[in-house]
Amino acid sequence: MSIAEEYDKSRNIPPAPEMQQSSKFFVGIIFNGNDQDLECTLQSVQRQRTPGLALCIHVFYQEDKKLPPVNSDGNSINISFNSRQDFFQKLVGDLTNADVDYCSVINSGEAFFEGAFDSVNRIFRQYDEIDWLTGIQSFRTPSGYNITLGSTAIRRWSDKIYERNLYKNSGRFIAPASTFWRKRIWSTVSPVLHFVAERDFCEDLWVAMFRSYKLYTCKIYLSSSSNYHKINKQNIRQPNSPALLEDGIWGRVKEFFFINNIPYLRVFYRAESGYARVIRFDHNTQAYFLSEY
Amino acid sequence: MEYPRISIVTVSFNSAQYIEAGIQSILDQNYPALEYIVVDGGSTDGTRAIIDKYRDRITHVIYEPDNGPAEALNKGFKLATGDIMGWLNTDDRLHSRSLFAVAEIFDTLKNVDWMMGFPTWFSAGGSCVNEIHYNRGRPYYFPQYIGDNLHLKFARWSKWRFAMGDFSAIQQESVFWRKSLWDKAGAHLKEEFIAFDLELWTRFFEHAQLYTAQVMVGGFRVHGNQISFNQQLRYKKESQKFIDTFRRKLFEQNFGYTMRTLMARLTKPFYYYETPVLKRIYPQLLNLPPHIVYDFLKQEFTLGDN
Repeated sequence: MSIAEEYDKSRNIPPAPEMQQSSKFFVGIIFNGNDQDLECTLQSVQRQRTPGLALCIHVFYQEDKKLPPVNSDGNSINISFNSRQDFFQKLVGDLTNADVDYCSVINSGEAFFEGAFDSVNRIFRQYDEIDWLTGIQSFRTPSGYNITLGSTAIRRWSDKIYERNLYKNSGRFIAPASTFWRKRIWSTVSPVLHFVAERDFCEDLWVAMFRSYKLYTCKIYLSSSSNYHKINKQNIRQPNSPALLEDGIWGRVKEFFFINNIPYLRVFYRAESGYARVIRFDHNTQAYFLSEY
Repeated sequence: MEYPRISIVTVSFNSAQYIEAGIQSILDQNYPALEYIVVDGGSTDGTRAIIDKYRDRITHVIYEPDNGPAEALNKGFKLATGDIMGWLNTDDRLHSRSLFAVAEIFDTLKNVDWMMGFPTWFSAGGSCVNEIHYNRGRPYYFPQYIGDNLHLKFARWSKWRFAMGDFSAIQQESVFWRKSLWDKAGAHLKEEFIAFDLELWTRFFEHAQLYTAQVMVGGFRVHGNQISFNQQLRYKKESQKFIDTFRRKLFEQNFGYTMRTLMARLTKPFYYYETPVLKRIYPQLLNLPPHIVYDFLKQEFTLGDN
């Protein structure tokens, strides 16, 4: 058996699912006050022209801000605007009441990649055990270029790793626009959500989700993030976690092997960290499959 | 910045399924100094109707039969007057704002004569998927699945490394070059081959270094109906022939070729796996140019560390 045949056989790829049923997405856009940013985000939503997708867009913004006119695209995209001081609470309320299948939140100025919603829909339909997922993201420069940084390995998360990362200020973060979850988990997540005004809304959301569900990472570009400038100043919490103390020299060596994809040696870090598997795409069958790396 | 003129050629033949997405990916960027040339070799499946839809925004449209994509591209490039050139196949796409990024790179880095963006792939449905494809058999020390942190290490060339065959394919959709290089290299594609892109790269390597950038420029749509898949065996045979010829030429010109490449093969794992200090040997032996990176503080493209 050739290397190529052996490689194909080892992947055990299931057939792509039939895509006849429609799916509804909820997208909460957090408006930062810049009209151009909102337009860029809305355009990226409107480019998701996949048959069978219905998009329910909620734009959240502070009071006293006049919004630019926005074209909604007929029946498939439904846009509503919410002007409230306590817009995070409003967002949670809207999420709870929405009759949708999948949800996501995006900051205005960030953009979804074309085909992102289609990929998410296909993955969720193919794998019922996946409750929430995050893609790899590129970084959007002020000029609008998509820059790639880092590897899939550093975009994998477990509850422990996420908590440790919050304290470490390592510059790794879960980009909201690349993260999608099933609406069905919202009833478990919303009761344990606890917002602190000075913290990032999504940080609290992810902590609540990690309590009950594993986060799967997929090797697909789902969005381009504009918050590269927050990389070194996103952490405002105090380092009081015992998880920090676990980072000895051996821990760092194991992490090095894992991040650099070194065969055999990378297995230790993955086994300890409790990561969910990685969702990957097979070009031959045009289907997604789960892999350890 | 005064935007340099960029000439892009697209050749089509019965490509109605994907051509519109490709055309839109170029035109929707609204690059102010774009010269876009489309050459159709006699499509009968509705491709022409799609091209006609955008005709007022396309600089030149040629409808005439040809003997394959290389001949059609030559027709297009003969009309091209841009300072920067490239071509996009009908099923592939450019990323948003990529033409502005290419313009800025060539404007800022004057010693860059040809460059390639970060290689990306699209699914048939148009999702941007990060999976590497490479031609050669997997070396024994490679993991079964290649992480994307290795992409940029694969996608880094010098003529030495190119001759060694240690690379994934140079992603043509992401490649742009200066007209001066095109003229030096003969200003034509060899029409008798289907691996004409790889043959062109061998000529480019004789005159300039290929720089790879962190920015996403273009992507290859994998749908199983491409020339490189349909005629995979012929494509591989031709590619191998070009690389062999190129290697022989380097060998004849350089006494130390064998020793240099042997040492490079031995030190390659250190390079891929970021072994401190030792990782520097491989790029130095092969004289690999640095990556073009984006400096987020200064907000400009610059050359990275070796």
